[in-house]
Amino acid sequence: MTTSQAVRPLPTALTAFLELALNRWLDAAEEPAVARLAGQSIAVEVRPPGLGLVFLGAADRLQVLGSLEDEEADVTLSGSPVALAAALSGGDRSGISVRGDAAVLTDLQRALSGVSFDWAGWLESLTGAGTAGPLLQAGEALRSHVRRFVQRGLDDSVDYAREEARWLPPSGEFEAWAGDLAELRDATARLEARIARLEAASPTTGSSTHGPGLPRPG
Amino acid sequence: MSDEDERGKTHFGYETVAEEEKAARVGQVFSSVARKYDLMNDVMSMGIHRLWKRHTVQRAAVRPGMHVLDLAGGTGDLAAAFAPRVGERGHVAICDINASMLIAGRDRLLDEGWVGNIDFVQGDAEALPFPDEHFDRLTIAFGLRNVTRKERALAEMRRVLKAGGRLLVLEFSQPVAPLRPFYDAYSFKVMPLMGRLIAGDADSYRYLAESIRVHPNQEALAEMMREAGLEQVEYENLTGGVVALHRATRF
Repeated sequence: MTTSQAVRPLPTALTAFLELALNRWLDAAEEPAVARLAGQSIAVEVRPPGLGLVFLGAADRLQVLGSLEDEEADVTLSGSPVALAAALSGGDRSGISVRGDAAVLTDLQRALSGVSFDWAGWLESLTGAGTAGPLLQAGEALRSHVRRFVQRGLDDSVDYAREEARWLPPSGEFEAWAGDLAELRDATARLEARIARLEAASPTTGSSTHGPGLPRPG
Repeated sequence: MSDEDERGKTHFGYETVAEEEKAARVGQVFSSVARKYDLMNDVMSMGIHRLWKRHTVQRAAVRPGMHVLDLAGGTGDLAAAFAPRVGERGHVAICDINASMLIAGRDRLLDEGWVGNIDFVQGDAEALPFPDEHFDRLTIAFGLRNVTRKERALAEMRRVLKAGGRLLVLEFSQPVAPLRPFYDAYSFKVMPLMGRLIAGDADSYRYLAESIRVHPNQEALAEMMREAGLEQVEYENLTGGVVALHRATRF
């Protein structure tokens, strides 16, 4: 099995939908993106929630399967949904683990990048001529809202970090303060020891002990 | 079945007939339903048969250049899915004992533009007209229960598979207990009625329902596949066991 035991394969209905959508997307590529993946297999383990799927290159499409039986995929990716999306779309592999031939992953990333999809054409093929405009406008408005929301979140985060940064001590100041504190701690310890010795040597304590260097009373 | 072999008898639905008679009678059934076979499949399964076949195609996991045999391929649902996937370097053969089904499949696939890497072969599953170790994948969807001597057919399937090649048997099977009363009512009341209304042939659809009942259940079929020399035999129930997909590998 390509996917490990802890990973459940995606159900057929979902992989069928994904395959249809993915290949519509890939059909819009300027160069034949699927050709370089023919015969290659890429297993994806989404953790959490522990779901698995496999991309398997056929002659005319990229198949999306739940799992590969009795075969090891050429490359296996494992990671969170966000990290996997970043790896497959933007090439950032920092959040995922990769087992196998990383060159196959590079081929997949190349196939997925640079695809300019004709959404209007696709929608009109489903809903009829002239109907795509309002849907695309609604989609664009939603995308704009989401983008503004994300941008505002990022700006707020930057402001917060900047404000917090003001309260941080300049470089070297903390080390100097820590050094002073250590010195104070040592001085306090010495003073405490000296007081203890003085108390021990005092006649009011009734002690017979004579500390070294202290004069005997009387 | 071995007792039946000795007596030369087998099932035709709920009837017991001579072995040599079964092929001819099954042939009559499929000749009768061939023209409306796809329509009836859609109506009777409410379209779910497409998902079962789609699942089979997924499990086959074919690659470019592979050689695939779709046995009892009939109207070519699976072959139409395999042909573009294996590409020009690959090859798909549809083999069916029934000429009417094969012609319906050929016409349909030609109309859809599938030419070049598909061959249509009329042949008996018990004596496949292919060389040893020729195919990477072999599928038989809703066909095995109509075969007279299933053991022979399974041995033949093993013979034509390459080492490492995989067999996928999609077939009606035994549903889980809670489904059985509804399933029986549907198969014996609704299916023949729809057969009469849509295809003008209630008897053929009554045979289809009966043939499902006398077909080996999941475990029995898995055991038959092991006895035929196939390995890594597994099965999975689809739609509560109404259909099972058995998978095995030849080594």
